Amino acid sequence: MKSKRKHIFILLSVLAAAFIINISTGSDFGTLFNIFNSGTSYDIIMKIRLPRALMAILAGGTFALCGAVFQSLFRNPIASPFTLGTASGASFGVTIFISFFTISSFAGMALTSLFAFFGSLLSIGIVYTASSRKKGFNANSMILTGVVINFFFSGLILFVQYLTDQANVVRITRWTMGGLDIVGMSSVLFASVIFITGFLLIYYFRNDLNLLFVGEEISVSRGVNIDRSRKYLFLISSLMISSIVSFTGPIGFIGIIAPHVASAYSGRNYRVLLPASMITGSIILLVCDVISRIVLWPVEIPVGIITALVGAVFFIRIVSK
Amino acid sequence: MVKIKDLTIILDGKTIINPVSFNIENGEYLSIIGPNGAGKSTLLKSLCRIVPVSSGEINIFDKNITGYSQKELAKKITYTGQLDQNDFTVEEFILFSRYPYFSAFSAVSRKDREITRESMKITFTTEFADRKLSDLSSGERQRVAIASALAQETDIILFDEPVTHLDPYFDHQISEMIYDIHLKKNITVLNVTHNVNSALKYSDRIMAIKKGKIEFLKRSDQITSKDMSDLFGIEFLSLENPSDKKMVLIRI
Repeated sequence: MKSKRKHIFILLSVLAAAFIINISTGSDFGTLFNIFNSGTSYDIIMKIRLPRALMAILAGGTFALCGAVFQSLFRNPIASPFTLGTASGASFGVTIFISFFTISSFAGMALTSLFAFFGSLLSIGIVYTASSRKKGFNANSMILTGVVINFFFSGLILFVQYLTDQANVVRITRWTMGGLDIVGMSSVLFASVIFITGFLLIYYFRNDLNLLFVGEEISVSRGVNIDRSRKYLFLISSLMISSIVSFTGPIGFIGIIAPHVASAYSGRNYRVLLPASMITGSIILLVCDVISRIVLWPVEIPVGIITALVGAVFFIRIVSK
Repeated sequence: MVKIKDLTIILDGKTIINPVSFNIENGEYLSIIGPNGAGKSTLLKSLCRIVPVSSGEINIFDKNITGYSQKELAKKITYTGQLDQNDFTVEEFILFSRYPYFSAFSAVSRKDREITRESMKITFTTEFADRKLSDLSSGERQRVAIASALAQETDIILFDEPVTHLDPYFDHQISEMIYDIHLKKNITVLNVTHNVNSALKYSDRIMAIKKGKIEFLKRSDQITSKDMSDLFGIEFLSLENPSDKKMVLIRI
């Protein structure tokens, strides 16, 4: 257990380094050093780069944490938070909003986020009710329903895009690429409340996750109330994903990669794997965000493009191993 | 200790267990034999709620199993079937069986670690404590499965074909190990097996199941080769083992 603690410590150090590199990166690399001399630098760091880096930590951590949970719930190494249609549901919500509504905020809330949130809840709701109607939680039928829901929402999105005008199509497409370009601290604060509560609730189930990863019969005979544990874990992680996606859009692959990387060096035990995947996910997203800002410097590209490219290469390596 | 009354199990509209009733004594070794697909494994799984009971009741220590929480039930009775490969290390995995004793907010206790080590010692798995379950042979993995059941400190252990697919050496080693644990720790054993000679050698009683019904339930020294022939529909040659005077059956 000592060596595992060392792992977490090393990970946290890497996270700190990635965080500093992330907030130094931009069209002007000197900004961080002038933070106390120049009002503009201060504003850039505090209003743009800091919220963005914090959101990268929260989003990367959430996707990775929930990826690790889903791998145990579905006993499937490629189950990810987006397997169940969360992302396409959110994209559908945003598509409806951009195409049919002209106001952008209501009572101080960003409506894009609200529509994304309800869109992903809709898809999770469909997947859950459609697959659990027969006999409780059925991993295979849930994954199958999730895949179908993905296709269904993609079809609806294309249909709406076909009807709406070109400017909206560009906005919709941009949203589905995923991005961390948030402004100000309010969404960061909201996301961190979700993140901390979600992590604590999931960590409560760490022993259940270990047994569920081994198998159903073992879990029951060792005393796990599998219906209850699976239901709570599924609901907690789905709500976490939906909330984060509503801010960042779908940033794929981190939910698959991070738990794999983390389990390769700190083992499968969820007592360690949960924090380790979470920190790994944050690091990966911080680094991908840096890449997205320097690859076409000084122009930045959506971070979802980088995670998808890096993720796909990584994925092929897992499959061909 | 275990009282089963009019137990029926129906899965997906198919009746697997027709009403069966029987009792199991404290500290008994009961073998369950019978043709493939007779419902032996389903019966075993229903005792710890892996498979739901359709009607009738199962009482453990005079309390219906539906009245226990899953955790409380897991302190009384456990099940070991075939153990799949996975990424956990042997020690980690055995420690997971302490689940019913874990509390949500505290770390693993010293007692949990001691019992894990003790279970590894009894099952000769200490030497590969740090290896992953995916790196073990099936004989080694089966010993780990037994160790993990032991670590749970239950009064009853259900074994579902613990020696199937094992070579004669491991078959013998593991059968002896189970018998040993049963005697030394006074654990009630229910053992589903296809090895009729092991059943005759180790068990107090043998229950035969065919098409979801009890064909016979007898003390093992009262079983005849005709009972076995009727059960499986083939002829057996019966011999007497000179060392323990028990019947040995040979397929002819």
